[in-house]
Amino acid sequence: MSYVRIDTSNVSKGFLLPHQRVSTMKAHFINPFHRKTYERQEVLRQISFAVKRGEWIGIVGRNGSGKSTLLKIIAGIYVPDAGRVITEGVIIPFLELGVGFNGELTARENIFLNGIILGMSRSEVKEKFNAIVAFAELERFLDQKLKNFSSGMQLRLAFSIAIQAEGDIYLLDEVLAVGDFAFQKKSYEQFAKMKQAGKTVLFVSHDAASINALCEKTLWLKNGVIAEFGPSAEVTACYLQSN
Amino acid sequence: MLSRHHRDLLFELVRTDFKLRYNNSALGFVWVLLKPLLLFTILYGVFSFVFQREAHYGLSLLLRILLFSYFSEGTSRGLCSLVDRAPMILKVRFPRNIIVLVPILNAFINFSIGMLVFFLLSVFATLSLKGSSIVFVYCVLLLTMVITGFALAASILYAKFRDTQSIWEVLLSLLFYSVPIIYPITILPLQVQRIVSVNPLAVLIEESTIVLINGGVADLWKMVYATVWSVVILGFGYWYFKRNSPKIAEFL
Repeated sequence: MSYVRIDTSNVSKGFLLPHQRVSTMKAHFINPFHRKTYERQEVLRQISFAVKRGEWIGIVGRNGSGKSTLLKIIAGIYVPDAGRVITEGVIIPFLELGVGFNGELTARENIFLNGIILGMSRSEVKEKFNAIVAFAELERFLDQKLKNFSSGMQLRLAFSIAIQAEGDIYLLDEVLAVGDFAFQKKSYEQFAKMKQAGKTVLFVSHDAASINALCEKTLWLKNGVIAEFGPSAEVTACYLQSN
Repeated sequence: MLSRHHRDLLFELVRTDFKLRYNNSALGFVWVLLKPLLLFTILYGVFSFVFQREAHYGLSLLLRILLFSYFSEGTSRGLCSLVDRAPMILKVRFPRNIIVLVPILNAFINFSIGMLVFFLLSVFATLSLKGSSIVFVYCVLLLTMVITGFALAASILYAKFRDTQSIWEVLLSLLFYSVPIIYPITILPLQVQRIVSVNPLAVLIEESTIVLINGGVADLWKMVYATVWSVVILGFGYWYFKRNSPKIAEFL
């Protein structure tokens, strides 16, 4: 069993946002000496925390506080400007459900495409195909184009594929608001199973109740810095009070 | 080079790309064949009177069109690849070069199908393949290196400057006429021939025609010259891509 750990030390990330976006060569050639004015927006500053194997960490914070950027840095999509992230174990990022989904393909084809994008091999998807379809309850629609699915059905399919991805660390960015009530209940049962299996999860959500139910510890991000990091009940209470 | 999973990912993306290309079209993937053949028919209809003196003008023309289409499709779709796949790049981590390889592989598949037609036709034209035609395979390899190197660098450049695509479109049509495709290189004055042959693309297309159709022998020095170019272009593209790709998500 691989050892799972996320360790971030003093991670900072900023983006240069030009005041007037210059992205044509003409602008560069016509006015090469014109100094572009940039605004540097520090999205994350000096973030340090550690996650051990099997821990579930909730992440709360207002819109624009840097939650998604943090997950993207841990997932390796962005490179931090300063500091470093050490992760051991296979990371499965659920930053968005249904990555690569294409409406022109059938549900069957999309299951293979999305599953492989999420890190499964083709044979693995084949093995898990029945489980995915059963969980999504979409057996009858397998050979229909995805564009004919309702958005709820698409999300259900996406979620069902995602939970089949085998990893050690899961990054969940607000993926719970999926499907109807019955499907949400099933999703929660699935999370309970993941918890039992000792998976490590970083869980971004605006729903304090589900965070308290699932996560021992919670990280509160406020304007790109850690406002608090501790037992979920305390942190979410403080966070709710501050709003 | 790529792990098993990344190979699976590459093939799945190629498969999807191929399927979606002619999706919702009545003739489907017949278009892969039809497009170069129609272009061939038009150009042949217009120019066969002018260039009657070249032996097997039709076949030469088809071969050169297929090679150029491979180049133009591979480079122009490779150029857009990173930007087109932005949603995926922003959500999942995987070697970014896979994204650039997908359209190139697809262009190669289209090219191969076109070549199949070419070989069928060459049987009817009683064209016999000589041993030297193995050089053609080498030319295609070099051409693929040029396409890959260019696409790697240009895909990054396109993410940063969106004019790259328009510039390349114009340059492609310049290339189409400056490289001997519709006309045999021999109709040019010697001096102009030398200038044209500075372009490695022209060399590769010319040598391919010589070994496959004229049954001649490839010019060793020209092949060395084209090889050097191909290695340099691929090397530069790879280096530039490697240097810039970790931060590419921020430009998308």
